[in-house]
Amino acid sequence: MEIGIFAEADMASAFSFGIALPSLDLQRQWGRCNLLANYVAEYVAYQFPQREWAENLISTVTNEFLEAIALLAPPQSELFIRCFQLPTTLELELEHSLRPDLVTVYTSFLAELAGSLDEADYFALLTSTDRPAVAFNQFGLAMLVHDFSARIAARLDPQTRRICVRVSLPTGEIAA
Amino acid sequence: MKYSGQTYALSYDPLDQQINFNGIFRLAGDEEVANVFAYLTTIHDAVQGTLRLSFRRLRYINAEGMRTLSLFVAFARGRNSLQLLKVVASGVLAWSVKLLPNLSNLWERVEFSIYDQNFYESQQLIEDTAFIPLLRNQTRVLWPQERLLFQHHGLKRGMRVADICCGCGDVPLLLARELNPSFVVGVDHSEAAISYARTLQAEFGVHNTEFQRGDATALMLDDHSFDFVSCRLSLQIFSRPEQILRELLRITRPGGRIYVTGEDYDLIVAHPEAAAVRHTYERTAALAADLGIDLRNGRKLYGMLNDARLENIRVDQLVVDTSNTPRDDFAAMIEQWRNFAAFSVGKSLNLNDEEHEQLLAGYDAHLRTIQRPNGYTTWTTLVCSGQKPPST
Repeated sequence: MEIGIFAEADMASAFSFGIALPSLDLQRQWGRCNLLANYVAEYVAYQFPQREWAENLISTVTNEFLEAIALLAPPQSELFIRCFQLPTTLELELEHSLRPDLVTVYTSFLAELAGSLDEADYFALLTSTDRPAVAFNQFGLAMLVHDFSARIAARLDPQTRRICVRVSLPTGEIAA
Repeated sequence: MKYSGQTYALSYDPLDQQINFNGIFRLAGDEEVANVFAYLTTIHDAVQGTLRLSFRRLRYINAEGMRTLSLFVAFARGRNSLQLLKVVASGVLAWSVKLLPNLSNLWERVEFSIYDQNFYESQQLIEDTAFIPLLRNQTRVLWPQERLLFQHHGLKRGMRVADICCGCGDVPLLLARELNPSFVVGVDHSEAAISYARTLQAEFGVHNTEFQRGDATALMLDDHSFDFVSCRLSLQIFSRPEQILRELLRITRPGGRIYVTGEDYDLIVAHPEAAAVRHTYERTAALAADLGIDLRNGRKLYGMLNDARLENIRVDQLVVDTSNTPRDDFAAMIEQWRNFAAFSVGKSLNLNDEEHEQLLAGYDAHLRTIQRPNGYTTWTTLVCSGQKPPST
């Protein structure tokens, strides 16, 4: 199952790196999302001329992505983070298993984000006084699309329930 | 009144009716959100008129943090007692520019602003790439003497040094290369200057130096973390230099020294063509004043450091003249000044043709003075430093 447009990795990517870690690490110590996001951001932003801006933006995007996934992945599963650069976008990819009860609601939400995010839906999430019935970081993911012009795509293997979600961040945003 | 989480601190400044958000505000869980919300609403209920939320020193936020702010805006809207809720972002923090404007859509009394956008009148001119050669030429003529003055004013081997408003970064790199500090950080608001500084750093092969883009009035540097903090030829371009001085003081360790320099155009003398040169610099100082630049700021530095309660204040005059500086270097700097004053500043102030020509003619007279073998001229910079009281 494929959601959105899943661009292929370019072999001529300016850089590429990957990290694998147990989901449980993030779930046990929530602050590790922050640490990991800052690490990824520092590593990636190094190549951009407007380094502080790039680092701040990439960390913010990565953190929201990680906080979303940390609630969705079974504790014993492994999480893969990949990052590479295409000519006009920075691609951040997270691959992980999905808890069975979340497959439908998560993929539906991603499909919504991959389409066009309604302004009203964004503000409904921002101002919501109650958490969503199915608790994952809906607003954080919506922020990426609404505020950072990110494009979302995903590939799900229904047999294994492993999903690869990709956030494409326009380099124009990073070099703003 | 303060509230602190593991990675952030919120503090209320009653003088400005402002809540300052510092650190990394990535909230997790209902309890933390509830605590922060309770803090914000308590402050809210004690304030009348305008409440400011300043995010100038908040490095990061997450979705939960934003949601908490939106709950607070909803609370304020429901109470309906504030006239205005001012949300102040920093132009160097991407998240704050991207996310905070959304709060303005939640209530018509939320006003969003970026603090460091046009926060000094000459910002566009000073932060332009075209300004870098002027800075380089100034360093070329100042450094031979200023190197010694840095030492005279207390910079020693092994110190941690911060150079705030470092421009194109050549001075922090020269400090790192020649005076052996353990670490130097250079901070400037200009993206072009910081980019240039990093390129220069690679060329110099200096490793114990970092450059960061930042707002000098809200530095992302820890309290009491530097032995020697400098701010050269920069207080003169800000209309409220005391805000920068406050930050210099904050990041200096007790017992450490703050070093500032400033120009004084009344101390530029020349012979021959004294009258034409004098008139030109008086006119330039007046034009600069229209852009918020004080080119007679040097004489005020002693008082500023004294007002900031610094101790052991030292003052020196750094006199660049045609006897101690190669004439070609001096002339190259004046030519940069000429072009900056007549073209950049002149264009910005819409000078008419006559004023423009007069200004060019005055600088040309100064250049002739420098190029004459018997000509003599000076450029004086006031150098002032003071010690942060050890007990602070």
